[in-house]
Amino acid sequence: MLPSELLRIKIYNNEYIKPLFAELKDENLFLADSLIKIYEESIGKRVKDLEEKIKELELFAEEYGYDFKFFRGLKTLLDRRLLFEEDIDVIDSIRIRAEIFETTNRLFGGFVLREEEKRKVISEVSKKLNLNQEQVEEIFKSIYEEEKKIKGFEKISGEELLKLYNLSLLQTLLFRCKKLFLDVKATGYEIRRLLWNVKKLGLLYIAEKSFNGITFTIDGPVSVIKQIERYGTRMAKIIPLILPFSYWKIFAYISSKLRAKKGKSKIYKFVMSKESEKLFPKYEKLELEYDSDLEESFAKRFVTVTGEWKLIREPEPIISGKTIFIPDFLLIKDDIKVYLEIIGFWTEDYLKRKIEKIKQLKDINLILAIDYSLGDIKIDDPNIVIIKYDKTISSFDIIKALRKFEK
Amino acid sequence: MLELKYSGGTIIIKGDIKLNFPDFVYYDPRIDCYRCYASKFFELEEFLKSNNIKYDAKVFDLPQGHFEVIKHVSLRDYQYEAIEAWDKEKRGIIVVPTGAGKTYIALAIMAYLKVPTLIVVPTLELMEQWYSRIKEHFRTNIGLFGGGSKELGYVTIITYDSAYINAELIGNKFLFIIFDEVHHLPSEGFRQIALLSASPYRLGLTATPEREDGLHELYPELVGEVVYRKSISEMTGKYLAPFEILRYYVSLNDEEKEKYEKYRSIFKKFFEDNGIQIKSLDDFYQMILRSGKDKKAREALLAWNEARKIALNASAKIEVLKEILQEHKGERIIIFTEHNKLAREISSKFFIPEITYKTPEKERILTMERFRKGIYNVLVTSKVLEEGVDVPEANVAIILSGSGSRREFMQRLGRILRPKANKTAKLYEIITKGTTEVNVSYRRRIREEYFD
Repeated sequence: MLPSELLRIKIYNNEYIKPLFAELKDENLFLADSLIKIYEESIGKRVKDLEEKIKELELFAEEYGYDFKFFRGLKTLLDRRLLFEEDIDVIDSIRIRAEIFETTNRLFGGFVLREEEKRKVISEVSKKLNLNQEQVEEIFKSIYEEEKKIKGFEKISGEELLKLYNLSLLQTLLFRCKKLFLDVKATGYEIRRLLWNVKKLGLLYIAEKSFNGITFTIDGPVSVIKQIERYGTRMAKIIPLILPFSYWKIFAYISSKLRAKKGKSKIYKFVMSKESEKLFPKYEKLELEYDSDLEESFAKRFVTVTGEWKLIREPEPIISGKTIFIPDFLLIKDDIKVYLEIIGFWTEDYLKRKIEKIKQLKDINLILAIDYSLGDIKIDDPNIVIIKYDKTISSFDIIKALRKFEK
Repeated sequence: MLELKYSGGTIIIKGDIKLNFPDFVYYDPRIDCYRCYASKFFELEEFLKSNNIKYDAKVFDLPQGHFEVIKHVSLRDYQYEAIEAWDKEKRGIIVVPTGAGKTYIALAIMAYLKVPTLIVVPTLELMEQWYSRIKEHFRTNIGLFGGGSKELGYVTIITYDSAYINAELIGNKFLFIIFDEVHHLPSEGFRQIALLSASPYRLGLTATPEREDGLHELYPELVGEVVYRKSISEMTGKYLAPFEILRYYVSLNDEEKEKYEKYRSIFKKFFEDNGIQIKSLDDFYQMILRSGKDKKAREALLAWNEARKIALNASAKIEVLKEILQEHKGERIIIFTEHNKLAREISSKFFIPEITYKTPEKERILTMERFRKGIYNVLVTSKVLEEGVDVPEANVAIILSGSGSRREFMQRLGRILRPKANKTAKLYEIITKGTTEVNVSYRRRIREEYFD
């Protein structure tokens, strides 16, 4: 993500908005590589030395027609990869500076106007703190940002930098997003993580079946009262999560002051899909993790027990009403599909909501494995079979339940 | 039976009762419930009560803690009047000049309400100032939110920025909310702090409630109307110090003059070539937008900025500054600059402690403390101290300003200086001569909105 003033956009047909992404072509790679080289060579030097080199390159870059916002965008991303010498120095220097100011006040009433007065203060302070005079002068300046010493730089290639820039630019565009639509196809596990993040960020969603998979409409609590920009930065944060999905398409309403009436903003549309993924960094697909030991041990045993039914973990989600249901397992035999959901120890509220959700499912075969301690749960639906378990789920019970669907 | 719940800065209304809700309640298809801004909670309650509808509200989640008054505030007449006016609705804005003790008005209200309170302030300096005042008057647990800390207390002090970001989190934790320098509140983002909060008691404080963009119209909805107002002229002499303004004009040296003319001709030519007249903030904004794409526009804008910098930082100012310092040696002096660069130059040249937004927090706190205690007599700062902060015990202020003075700021500053016994407080302004053509009439506003 970049500061808003570094956003570069273009407007099409007075209706669509699009960031000016950095194409992965030679001249952009050349600029990225040159910048990275300056950063790599700055290790051991001070921030002001680095800034000076960057300033030189920026003048050159502008001369050759590069957009200064593009240049500054790359610089912003690289600045974040710098490591500095420890802050302990700063605390020491604050103490020493305080000593200098105090001495100035005591000897000369608050300021030194003549060089002799200045020398006198420095010599007093250096005697008192047992430092030499050059050290005192050096430390006096050391609290400033540009005097910081660079310890390291987190490596990146020119191509990676451009891709990171593009992702940041996309996220920056979304800062002013009022409503976000994501059309995706992904595994249950990926969707679960996406929605967990949506919820954690205080956003709300509606899930609907779409041609390609599921469409999520995402905005925030207040959006129903008034469309505000409050949620844009949070929406931006979920973008990296969808990039590894097997299909994704973003559609967003973005407010911008560009080409709008004086002082007002205007709403533009933004569209982008997986076809553009080459522009962005590659994220690895998520490794599956089991929610509980119970599920893990069941999955392992079940696979060895039967070859007839194929067990799939975290299948694609099912849309129920306006929300989404992600069952733990899917069992497939020929053209018969049966979902399996395991309900363990949960709060009463959670259980109530879950059962509510399940009751809304239509035309779906489902086995509900319920822990004994949760008592009796009745659901009046011929496609739902309830079995109970105690500590472990018996593969035998599951196979028995599956027979009902085979008929 | 309806169920009212706080959720993300809104109130969710659950239940089967079919109702014609008032306009501020909206149906939310995403959760199949009704919803309104948290700030409408009490209006909603009134509506339900008047319609005899039973409801169960789980809205507030107040911080645990104690609150005890250890030192009472002694109030002046007008401070009593202000509190009485506010107390009728327990909502509204009190307008008094800077230096008239608006913090004490708020402390007196806190002392009798004795409820969990949130204080929203624009700067970290003000946060520190409120912190020490509260510690002085009350025994309670104080939370600080902003500038690195993130802690909720029975009384919590938060910056507007943090309050905006954390509006959902703080919205149901306090019964009393104080907006210091409330003229910041109506802006597009900050107003959400008020809308997403369920706090019934609301107080706004400021010396200057009117906004150029007209958004002060929103006060009634956000905090309440202006309930009390006292102007500077009604108070001078009786409560505020007399002061004297002295202006010094300096010239650019030859080198500076040459550079200044060079930059000036660049932007002047651009304006003429393109028939542009900067008449309003919007014109200027369009110009900035344009500079993103148009290389010539960008050059002109940069040149304009450079010319301004030269005028502001003229080297002759340092010489005049030296003279003034010499004259007031040993007195309590604060120097104000436009740019950090000049503040730093003065600091390292004269060994005067500086406070800018780039100063590390630890040093800033230490410097303010030592200045208050008199370990330091002189301070240089770049604008950060301007707003609201009590200029502690100083009798001389020196402003190294641009070519136009900001009368309002000078007035405010003058009023809060504390003169030494049988002496008038002195306010110096050092101005660069012959640079007044730099877009005279709009310079002030533009500077405030777009730079630094």
